[in-house]
Amino acid sequence: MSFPWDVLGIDATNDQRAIKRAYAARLKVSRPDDGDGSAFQELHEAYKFAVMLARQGAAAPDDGPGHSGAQDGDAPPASSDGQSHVADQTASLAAVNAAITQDARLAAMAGDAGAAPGQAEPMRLNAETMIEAFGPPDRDDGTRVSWDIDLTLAPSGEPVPVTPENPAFREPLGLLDQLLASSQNLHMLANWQPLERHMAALGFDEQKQLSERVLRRVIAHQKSCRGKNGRYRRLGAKVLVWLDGLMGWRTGYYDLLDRFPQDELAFLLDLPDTNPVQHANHGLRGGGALFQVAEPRPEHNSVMQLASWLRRIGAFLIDIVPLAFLLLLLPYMIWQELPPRPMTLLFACYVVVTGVTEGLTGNASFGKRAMGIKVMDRYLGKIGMGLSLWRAASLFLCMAALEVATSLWLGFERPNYLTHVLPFQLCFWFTEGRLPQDLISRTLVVEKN
Amino acid sequence: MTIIGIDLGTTNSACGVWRDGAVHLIPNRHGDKLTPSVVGFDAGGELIVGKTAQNRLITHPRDTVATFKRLMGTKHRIEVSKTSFTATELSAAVLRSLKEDAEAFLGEPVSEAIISVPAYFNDNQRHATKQAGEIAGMKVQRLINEPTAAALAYGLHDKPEGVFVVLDMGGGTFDVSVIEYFDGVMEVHASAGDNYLGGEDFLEAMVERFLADRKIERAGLDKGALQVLFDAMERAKRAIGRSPAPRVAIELAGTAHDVEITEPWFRDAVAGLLLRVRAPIEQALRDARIPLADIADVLLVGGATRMAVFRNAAGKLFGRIPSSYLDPDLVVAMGATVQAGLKARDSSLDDVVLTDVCPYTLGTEVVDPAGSGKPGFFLPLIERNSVVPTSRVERLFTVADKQARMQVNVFQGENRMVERNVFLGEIDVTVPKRKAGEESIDVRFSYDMNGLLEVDVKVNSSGETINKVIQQAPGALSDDEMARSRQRLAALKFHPREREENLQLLSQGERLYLTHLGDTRAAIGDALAAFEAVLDRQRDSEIGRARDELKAFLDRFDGDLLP
Repeated sequence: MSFPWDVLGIDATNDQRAIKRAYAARLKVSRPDDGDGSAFQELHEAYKFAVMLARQGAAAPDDGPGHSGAQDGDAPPASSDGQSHVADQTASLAAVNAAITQDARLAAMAGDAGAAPGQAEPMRLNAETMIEAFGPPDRDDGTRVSWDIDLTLAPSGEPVPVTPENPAFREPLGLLDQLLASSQNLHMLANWQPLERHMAALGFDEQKQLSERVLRRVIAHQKSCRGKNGRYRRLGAKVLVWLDGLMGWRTGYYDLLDRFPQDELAFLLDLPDTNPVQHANHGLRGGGALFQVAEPRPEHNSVMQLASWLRRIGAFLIDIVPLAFLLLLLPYMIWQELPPRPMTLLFACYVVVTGVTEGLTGNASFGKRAMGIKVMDRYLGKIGMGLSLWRAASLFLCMAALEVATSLWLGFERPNYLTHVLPFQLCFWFTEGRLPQDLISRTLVVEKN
Repeated sequence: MTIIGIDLGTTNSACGVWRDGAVHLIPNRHGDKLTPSVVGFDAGGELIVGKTAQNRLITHPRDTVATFKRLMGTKHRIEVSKTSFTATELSAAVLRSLKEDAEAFLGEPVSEAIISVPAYFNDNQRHATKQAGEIAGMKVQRLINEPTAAALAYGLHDKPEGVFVVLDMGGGTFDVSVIEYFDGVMEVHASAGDNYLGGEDFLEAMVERFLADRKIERAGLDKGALQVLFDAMERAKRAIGRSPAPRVAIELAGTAHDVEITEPWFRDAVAGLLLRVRAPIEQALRDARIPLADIADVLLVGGATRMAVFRNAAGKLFGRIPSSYLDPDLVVAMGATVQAGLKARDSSLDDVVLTDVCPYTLGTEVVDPAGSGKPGFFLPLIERNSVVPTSRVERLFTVADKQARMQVNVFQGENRMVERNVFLGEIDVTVPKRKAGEESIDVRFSYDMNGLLEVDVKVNSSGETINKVIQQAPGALSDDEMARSRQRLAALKFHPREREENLQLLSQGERLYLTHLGDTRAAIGDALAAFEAVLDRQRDSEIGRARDELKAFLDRFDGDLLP
């Protein structure tokens, strides 16, 4: 005898009634409230395992050829014929779904005096007739039902096809469109919940694709709701935070930047961190209603871009001027002589100093702090020392590459610094506010709130 | 030492004691087995609990409070008579009243109790319930899940065999449990529920629909008028489906309304709530892995399951007529009492064993297992519907070089991200600074029969262990606050038992005065004035006679709609 049969104290058997009897007898000795409950935990595990084996008819293979059918006929709760068992359960749950949908429909019809009398008829639910009567169960219902049954355990017969077909986006996107088109329903979190099931039924790649399609539609919707009249139809923070939690937009913010312009994604940065669902779970109803809806960020335009450009230049100057004083002016005043390659030295020192200060403080150098901007990693978290130094190094590498390129191309002995600065500024304007070192090190420079 | 079993409900509470191999439910000071969970203060600042307070909900809406169980486990403070209380303290007042009734009934002090809680109560709410018992001066020996208690009562009643589904819809909560009986073993396979679905929600839906139909602004009504409306609706709700159909005649904001509450109207008003019945049932069946065909019976528990619409919905779902041959209001108290007998190891219950499950998943916060390094992911340790007591251990590693601290955040819920689960508590562990992944801790979650969670953390390199019962959750009281609450409650005097009956009668009369019109109203007013005159004379024999007369008089008006 081995586990689980030694714990139960019986020989291996497919008879579930016998297993239950043995379990009940043992349980009277090791009750769940005795001691620390570990004896009970072991007993219960053994019992569950034994019942599972018996249900598959795998517990006692030497019972004889007839064991799977006739011998277990006297075990009332479940037959060992796994296939019919599975089918039965699927059918019953499908019937539950169909029945309750029907009930809802009945309930929704106000005037149905005779449709639902006070007594339910004791009818036997039959999957075929129910499905025939009320239409097939929803696709998501079908897949959900199949989750709890391990189909590989079925001893024979063809497996039930459960994988959703790949135009699986049609339903969630249809739901989404329907909600976005409504004027009231889109504000109620409960109406969005079905999306959760759709997402759960998809594979990882499909989830990603769906989340981007949803984002595209949400952005288009928010855009169409600009202005005073659209204000009431614009999605609030409550729904957006919930959708973000489901779709993982902020988690993949940096990847989204490749395919979406930054100003369209700006609203993600403005979303609050917590979710009203959590308030609701703490027992206060209407937690969601108390939630402040953030005003949408003003549109991204060239004036703002200019402002952020000036900020970055200001930050650069604030950082570099004291260094220039220390490295160039001071030696000149003392020794009447500049160090060799003064500009390269100055720039190298700038790179090292800002890299180290940003790494140490986790977000900003002195200049950036003074100008009210900070550096964040791709998940909008603090940057660590490693990332900060990599950012600094990538800046230095960019500059070095430009120096090599310009001197090869134009043959400048002492290249003009404009040829270095200009490409940076062009990059800034065409990527909507991101310099080459931001792109290479995958960091973001954002305003402090 | 006697242990009493208590059903602390949203609308009604009850208690009982296991004696001589049977359940004895304890009548309260008015001789009823049910005590309404309503707390109030009279003019002298004395505490009133139960039926008297319930009558005063209409006449003294500012000094009376009901349905506070819904706020259990939150810091929310409820204003009563210019003082504010937490739901825990108000529940403690109800428990103390039940305790005094039990002491009067048994003739001995009671210091231990078993209290029932909705199966889907979370850890915070369970702690709050336990603390309420302690504030009331009782050691809470066990918290038992309400559907489990109900099943226990049914199980002892006729010892059936097979799988049963218990649907428990009380005043505020809806629970589903799948339970199997065999050879004296009661095994709970799965529990699920909705903490915000109960009779009160149906009532609320009716009132909302009524106000919407009549185009009345709810904000424009004062608390008293609203209470009268709620009261009338509650009476109508109980009489729906009878003939003649109940009518609600009421005067609101200067206009008289008289409507017939028909079944289609009611069905329409509560359609949205009925839809919410489905999800917990589905989840419980899925978790239990029991085919629908194997279910032997569906048992209905809780006062709200008396509603025909609910029975209809349940009948349609399961394809059979659900049974409810024990009083749905009292069955939970009976079950809690059986559990009290079990706990006391009463010899008549030797061959009964109960195994229960934990209704939700418990786990801790980890960084993204996929390797992005992002925190905030949920690692389940104890899966929902695993049998209790249970204990599981998981090894967690440091994620950064020279990491000095590891914080074990404990969460409850089913979501992949912790931010959408309920935070229960945290433990801070100091670990030696080494390379990432070289330091590890063993986190052990132990979930006991009461549904309370204990967390052990062991630092593997140093062998240091930290043990903690999760208690600092939001809404739970600290030891200081507990002591203060206990003092506050002790300072509040209960209304003296002998005068209680007079007060109850007067409050009933005042309520009837408000809800009736015309000649009836005048007659009730006269009767009350006469009774007050008798009370002023302070002659006991006279008071007793007048009391009986007034009671008979008032009951004529009160009994017409109630069953």
